[in-house]
Amino acid sequence: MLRFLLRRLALAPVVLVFANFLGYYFAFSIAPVISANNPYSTKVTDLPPVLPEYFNYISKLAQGDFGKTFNGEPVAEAIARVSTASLGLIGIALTLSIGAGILLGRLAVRRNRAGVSTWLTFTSTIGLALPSFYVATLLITFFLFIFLYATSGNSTLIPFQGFGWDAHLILPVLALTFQPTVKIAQVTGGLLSEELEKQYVTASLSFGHSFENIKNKFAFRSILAPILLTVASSLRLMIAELIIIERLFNWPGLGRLIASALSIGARSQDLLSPPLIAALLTVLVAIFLFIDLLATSLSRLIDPRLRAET
Amino acid sequence: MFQNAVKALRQGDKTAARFILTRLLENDNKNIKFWLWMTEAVESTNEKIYCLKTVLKLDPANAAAKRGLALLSKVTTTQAIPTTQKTEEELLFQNSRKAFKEGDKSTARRLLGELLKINPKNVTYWLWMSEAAESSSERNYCLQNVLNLDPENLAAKRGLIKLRELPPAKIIQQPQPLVNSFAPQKSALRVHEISSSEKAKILPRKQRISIKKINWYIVFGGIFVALITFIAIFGPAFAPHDPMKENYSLIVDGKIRTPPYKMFDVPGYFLGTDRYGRDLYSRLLYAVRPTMIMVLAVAGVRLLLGVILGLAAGWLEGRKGRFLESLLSTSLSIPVLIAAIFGIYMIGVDKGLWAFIVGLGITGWAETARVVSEQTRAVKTQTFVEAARALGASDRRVLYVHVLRQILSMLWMLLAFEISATLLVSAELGFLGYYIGGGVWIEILDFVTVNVEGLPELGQMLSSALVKISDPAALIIVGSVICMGVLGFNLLGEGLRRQMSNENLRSGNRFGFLTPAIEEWLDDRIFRPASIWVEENRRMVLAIGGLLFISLSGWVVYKTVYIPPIIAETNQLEVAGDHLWASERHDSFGTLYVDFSLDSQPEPIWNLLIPGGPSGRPVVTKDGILIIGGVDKTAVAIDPNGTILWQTQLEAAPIGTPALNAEGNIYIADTNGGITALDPNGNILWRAQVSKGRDATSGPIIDSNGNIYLTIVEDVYAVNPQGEILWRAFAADAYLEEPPRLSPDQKMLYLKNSVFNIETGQRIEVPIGSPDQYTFLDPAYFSGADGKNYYRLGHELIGWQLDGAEVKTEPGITWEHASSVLFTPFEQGVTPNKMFWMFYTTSWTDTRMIWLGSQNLLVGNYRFPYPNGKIIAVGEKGEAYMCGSNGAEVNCINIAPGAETPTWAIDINSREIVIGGVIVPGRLYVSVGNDGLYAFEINETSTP
Repeated sequence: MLRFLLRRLALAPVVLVFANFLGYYFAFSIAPVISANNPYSTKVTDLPPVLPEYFNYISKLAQGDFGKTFNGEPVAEAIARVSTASLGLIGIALTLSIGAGILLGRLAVRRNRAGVSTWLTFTSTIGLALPSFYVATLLITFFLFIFLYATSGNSTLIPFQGFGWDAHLILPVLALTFQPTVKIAQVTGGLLSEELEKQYVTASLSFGHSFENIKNKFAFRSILAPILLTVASSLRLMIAELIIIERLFNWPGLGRLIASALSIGARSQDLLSPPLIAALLTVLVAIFLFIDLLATSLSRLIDPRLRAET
Repeated sequence: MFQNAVKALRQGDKTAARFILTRLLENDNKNIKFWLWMTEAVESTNEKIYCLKTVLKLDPANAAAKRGLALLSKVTTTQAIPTTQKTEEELLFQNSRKAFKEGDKSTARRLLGELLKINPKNVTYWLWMSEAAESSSERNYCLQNVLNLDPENLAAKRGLIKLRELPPAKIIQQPQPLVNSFAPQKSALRVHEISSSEKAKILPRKQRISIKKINWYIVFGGIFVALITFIAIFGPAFAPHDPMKENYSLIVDGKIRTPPYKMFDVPGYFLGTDRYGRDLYSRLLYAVRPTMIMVLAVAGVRLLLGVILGLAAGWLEGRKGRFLESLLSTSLSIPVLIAAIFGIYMIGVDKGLWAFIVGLGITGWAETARVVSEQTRAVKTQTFVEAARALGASDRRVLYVHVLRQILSMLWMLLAFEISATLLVSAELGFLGYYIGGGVWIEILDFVTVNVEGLPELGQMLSSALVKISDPAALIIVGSVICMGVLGFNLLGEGLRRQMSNENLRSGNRFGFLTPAIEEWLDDRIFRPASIWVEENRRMVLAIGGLLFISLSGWVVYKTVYIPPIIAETNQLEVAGDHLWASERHDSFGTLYVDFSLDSQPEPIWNLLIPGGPSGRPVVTKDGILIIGGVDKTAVAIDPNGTILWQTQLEAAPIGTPALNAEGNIYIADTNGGITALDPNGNILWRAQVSKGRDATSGPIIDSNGNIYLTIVEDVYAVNPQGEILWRAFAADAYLEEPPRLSPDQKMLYLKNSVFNIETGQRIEVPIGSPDQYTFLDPAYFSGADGKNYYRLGHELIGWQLDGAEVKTEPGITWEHASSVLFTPFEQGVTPNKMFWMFYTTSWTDTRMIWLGSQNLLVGNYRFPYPNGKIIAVGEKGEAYMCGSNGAEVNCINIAPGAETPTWAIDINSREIVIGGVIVPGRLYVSVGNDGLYAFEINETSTP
């Protein structure tokens, strides 16, 4: 277990450096390609060689200068600021979705017949088809029209856009939690109902444990590992969706920073500035690596069956 | 056991009862009860009589036996068989059964064979024979015979069902030995098919295939998917409007409305439009096809890569497994969006949909791989895998048979997930501005253009509809279409998963959802022979497979790695003789286009005074030698270093720019109405007096046949290379001071508003616009560097072509000139990339250069603060080289389209007026008034 952890951790710095270089190289080499595809741009399209520029950047890094964004804000500060906003949003959404998902999954397990209740399969099939940005727009429309009619356009009870750790959180969190909740619920329900078919459950029942107890404690512990992995993949999906959700709800987070750095419509001198993209990519890769490491380590810790090799 | 026999008899299962009773009787030969029941159980009357007789032998007073015999003897008088023979038969039967008990199947078979010779219609014998048979084909034959004799025989049916579940060694044929020895009826053996309902009755309850239940998931999923497929294939045919056409003003109820149009607002655009007036309904119909193609292709690639790599990562142990695992987690950490952008742009965004498919497909397989690897790992630790391995199953078999089966059921869920993930990424890409195919440019305000998505695709339409959140109608509509598509696949996947997880998979069916009949046919006719053939020809199959794989991957690598040049090919018009500058407007077509750029600031290298001042621009031969006319009746040739090569005296003062023909001969028009021809060394070949006493008013141009054309006041003259006049035609009432132009196909000659047939000089009518416009709009025909005919009517540039006698015109390109310029352009042109330009200048106002793109897109509008502007050339990137003089200095610049400041500017300290200039690769030559010719060169080390 420890060896596994150490091995993964040893790999992490290599990957981060690689990600940094990749981000730099990507921003560096793609800017002329994009401006060449634009017949009306005036950018110079020949490039100096990458490596000297990159080492230049690295030496600046060593001195603590991460470069500046278009506002002149230092990159480190900008990333710290947006990360707290985004990760806070995601943290709240994830916690809610884990709680609700597991709860629904447990509720949906049938006692008499094997399998998951129909309502859960049905809901999850539909739920998987609703991407979060669609849900977000539905929510916005819904609340918009409700409040238009309810308060006759005077005020909106729930703010639609904007940043704030208060009522501003409601709509974004709702939009973000919908799909992960449904997915976690489906996975939990499916795994749990399969688990309850096993013999030790029958044995426990005959020994006198209550079904609820078995379901919520004993059988559930056996399936924690796959649920963890589902949570990890939902988290990854949430981070990927941030770009659109933050744009919709005007939430100043990581997604908006990425969008402004990568978006072709950005002001020409800021488009794809290599230090910013390198830093962003490094941060993103670090987040994903951390999630991955956490999920696999925890799952191996919890489930001895996965410890068998490596 | 006896109870079972009684039960069986009561249920009507005589055969089972017989079997049981036979065994009972073997143990206890003298049990009357057994014999009595045996009587009930046996089939034929003879056997019944035998049993009853045996009872009577044991107990002569048995009433039941007596009664039974009495009954039977009435019926069976004709069927009485001599006892001896019967006993013989019975003996044989007994012996065969004994042989069975001892395990001696061959003896049993032989005995039974004898028995069947005696009595081929005995069902029992056939049943025992089926037990004794070695191969399943023989068994099948025996059982079929039983069914022939007794169609309701349950044992035979059960036996046949069991047979079907065993893999047949060969295709079932009638085994030869049995046929020969028994000489059955020649009539065809009816093979009994057992219907599933019968099966349901026969088989024990547990094995019963489930009663038909409607799988609603498949039904609804199938409907949705079929609907989406239908729209994908036939959708564009139903679209009422062109999805790319922008409608900026539509008249509704007599009022002009601007986009975006809401739903049901404008008749004919019933779902409304997007921000630029493009009809949403048509775009939706067009959008489904590329979306579905992209999504399914990407999902397929990702699933394939993911499953393969996930299986390997989960299964392999040791270093390989760890390596794959770390590769997996690394790929998982790289955000798909950035990798996708990288991939798409490296492949080339102009490849449109395929760039997106490849770019999205080779990234993002990591999610599937992660799920698959975890599942593989979980399955690997199960006991049944251990058991399989203990039984000797190879790794491959365990993977294929056990692990893959588990994963197959997850596949549909993975597919649904991949589909929505792909749509998400394409929406995000569209959101960020990376459109499929690069998008189209739309002008939204004066001089402001945006790049929006061109090819309609659902994800990208979604992102462009995200802008106005308070009017979410379009967003909801597009979202609903996406939702319906994904939902259809989800439902279908869930339904298929349910179908496949039913007993179908367990009973050996490959696909699970085909009917057993089809399944068997496929198995017998296709899969089994195919797999046998592959097994036998393994090497050849591997070789072919390897070749295919290598060629396929090579093609894929080639397609993705080879990046085509970014600049589009130009179909530039040929300059005869490859001269760098052949006549006044660079070439005889008058395009003023050069296919290179001077990006850096040129430095002055020399300045040469020309006797009398230059008469026009110089021309430059392909060796770089400049030839220019001097007003002092000279023609001068200068080499690139500034030294005069030769100087020839002419009869009259030259006018305009000389012209070079393919051989390098020089033709100069003079103010006395003549043309002088010189050879490249300056020797006069001839001088032709073209028009008596009237000045030529411009330099000549040469066509590819060497004929010379020039303007003399209001006429056009054509002269052949020997100096003879071919024709003369009247061009216009005005005093024309410019040379004519050739049409791109060199069949026509343009001069201002006239078109002439180049061979005869006959006027060709090309009516564009109306004659009363001509006075104010100063129209002119010209050739574009893209090889097309154009016409400038006022400030509008119109492409046209002649179709017989008809003129076909394209929509004109124009701009809002009213507040900027008072006069019509001095010069105009089209670059090979279809950028339109117009050059405005006078001697007393500033000069202006306008660039226009298609659909009236104003690309650039530059005000050059010098009068007396002369446009030198338009370069490869569309940049304009021009000079202007304000009496104190001369300024020459390179201005790129849309730029606010010139790329570079040269100041020439001269009070003269610029006459013209030429550029050649790396150099700029400007002829200025009396100050002669200035040469500038780009230094390699000069700063841009």
